[in-house]
Amino acid sequence: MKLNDEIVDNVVMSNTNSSIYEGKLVLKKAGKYEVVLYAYDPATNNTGVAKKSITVK
Amino acid sequence: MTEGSIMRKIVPLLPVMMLFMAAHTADAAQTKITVRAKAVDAKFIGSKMGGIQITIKDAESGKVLAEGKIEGDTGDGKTIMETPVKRGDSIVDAKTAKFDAVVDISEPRLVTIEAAGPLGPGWKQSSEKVSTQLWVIPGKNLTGGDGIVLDFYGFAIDFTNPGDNAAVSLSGGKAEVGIKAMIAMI
Repeated sequence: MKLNDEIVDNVVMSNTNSSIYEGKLVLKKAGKYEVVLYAYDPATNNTGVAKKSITVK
Repeated sequence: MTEGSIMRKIVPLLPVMMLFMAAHTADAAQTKITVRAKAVDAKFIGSKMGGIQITIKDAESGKVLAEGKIEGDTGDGKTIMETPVKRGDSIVDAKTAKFDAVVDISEPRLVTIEAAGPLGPGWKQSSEKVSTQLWVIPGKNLTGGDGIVLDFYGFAIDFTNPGDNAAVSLSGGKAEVGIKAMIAMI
């Protein structure tokens, strides 16, 4: 999780159901956060990334 | 090396050489190419993920010879994921996702096959391009076995929560946001 281009936290997501992964972000400052989600499997070399933004007022 | 062993090495090459000569002198001929896309460590990529765009180009001129979309099923999971495969075995069935291309060429051409996707709206951030090159001989279909298979590395991630451009307010000095995603092999 990034705020103003600086990494402010890393959160490990939990596998809650089949292909579903969930987690919780705790944001403590106002600003526009970028959430960069990545997946990595060292056994198959499969990787993936998806991004979202969150504005905290 | 004895004369006999040399002949044993040469004789199997003859049909290939004759094939090339026949093709080289032939008129324009339609040639079929079956293209499939497969996820590494998983099944074939098909309509469920919006399909894969295929473009077949002449490698030298860049001219598009055929284009279309891979559509169909992901294939049989037991055959693809659980059954040992030996040389010559096929792991597809009639419904397994594919694009049946037809190219019209009059002499052997080196072609580039480009695959882009998945094309489904939920998978835009997971979209990739994979390509390969091979020679195509007029009239000699490339439809054997599983066809030309392009391997896609990676996970498809559908980042469902938070929504796009989410906004929250601090309460008591903090804001908590749940994150949720579906992560699957492309």
